[in-house]
Amino acid sequence: MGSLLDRVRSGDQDAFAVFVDRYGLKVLRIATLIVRDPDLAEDVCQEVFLKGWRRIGSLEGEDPEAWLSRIAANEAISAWRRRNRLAALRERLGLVPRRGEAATSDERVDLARALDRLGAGDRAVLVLHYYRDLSVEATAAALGIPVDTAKSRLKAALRRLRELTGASEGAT
Amino acid sequence: MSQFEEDLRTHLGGEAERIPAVPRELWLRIVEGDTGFHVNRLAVASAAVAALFILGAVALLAQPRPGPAGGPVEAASPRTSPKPSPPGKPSPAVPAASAFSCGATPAGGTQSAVGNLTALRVAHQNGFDRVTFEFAGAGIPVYQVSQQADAHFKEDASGRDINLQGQRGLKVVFHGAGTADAAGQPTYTGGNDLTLSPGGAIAEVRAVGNFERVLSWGVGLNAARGCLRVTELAAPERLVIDVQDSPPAG
Repeated sequence: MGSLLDRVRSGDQDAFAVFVDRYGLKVLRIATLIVRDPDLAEDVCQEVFLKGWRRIGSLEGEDPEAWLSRIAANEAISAWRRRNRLAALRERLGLVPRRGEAATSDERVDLARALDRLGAGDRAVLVLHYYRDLSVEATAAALGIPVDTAKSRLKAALRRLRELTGASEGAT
Repeated sequence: MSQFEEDLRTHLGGEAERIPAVPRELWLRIVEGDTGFHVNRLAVASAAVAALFILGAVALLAQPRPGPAGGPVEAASPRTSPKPSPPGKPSPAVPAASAFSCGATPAGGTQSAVGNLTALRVAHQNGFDRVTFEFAGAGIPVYQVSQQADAHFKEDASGRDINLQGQRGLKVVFHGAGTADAAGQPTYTGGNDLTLSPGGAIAEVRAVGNFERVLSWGVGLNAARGCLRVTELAAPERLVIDVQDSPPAG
């Protein structure tokens, strides 16, 4: 692996292609789970590898998959927020019709739709912890937030998912 | 772990498994576009956010409530309109490759354009190195590219000496340009000092000034002569400077 990274660092395009082959799907999956939009996820994936290529020199001793996952999670959050800001501005300027209100609290939805209704920051915590199997501490480090914030965000996101899906709090 | 958490883990895994592979088009965008013309909808979206932010501020100042859809739309810059091509598709690369010009000191841009740098890319290509400046805004800010016989620069406005790698230099100056939007949010968060692996025409690209809307970058060249090809591209706005690897003798 060291030699592949060295080759990528030296600007070897073939090595970079192998690098993308090796990690592209993992990055795309994380991005998709967080942004919930295939097109936006592809943009995030592209941006992750562009940033990865630029910053490959800073990858010292860290597992490339973990490193890329971290970039992917943060990039996904940023991309999702940018798009939402843009959508909100377009609505405010009357360029597009206003979106309908979210479902009422009485409406029960499945887990996929419940995840759709969370913010990207909350989804990122869930994805890193439950999909990537990172500890809460590692999740917090990956997102650059305090551990207590990650814990409370995790707790709040789970509570919101339970509310939306109608799952009982005590379900074990 | 509760049953609900187990269900969530299973669900996320299932959603991920539904993506069997990286689509070929995306793979090509990443691998073949990584070092060259990288068209990214995120950058386009950022530019659109910036443009809409300005429009929104103007509209809201002029009228407390958003008016009918027709008003603000007319005020919108055509540059913020949806692109004619599907988003995310690679935009045309350099149109019909023009010739390199040795010793050239190109200048151009849009006189009234005010732009903020959103991305800077430097890459080896086949026979030349390419540096791409990407801007949010309508038009590329007015620019000048000057050549110099060394790679020493003076930082604007401190006057501090900056020595880049390489034997020659290019100075690229943009007027009416910066790296933060009207709200003070950075639009460019990339590196200010990019060093390329040896062997190409460009050795280093470094910020040498960002003062009072004048943005300056120095380019250290390995090439014995600065043979350039400069191209302006739109959507997003980019200034592309190619430096030939092995310019003709003379």
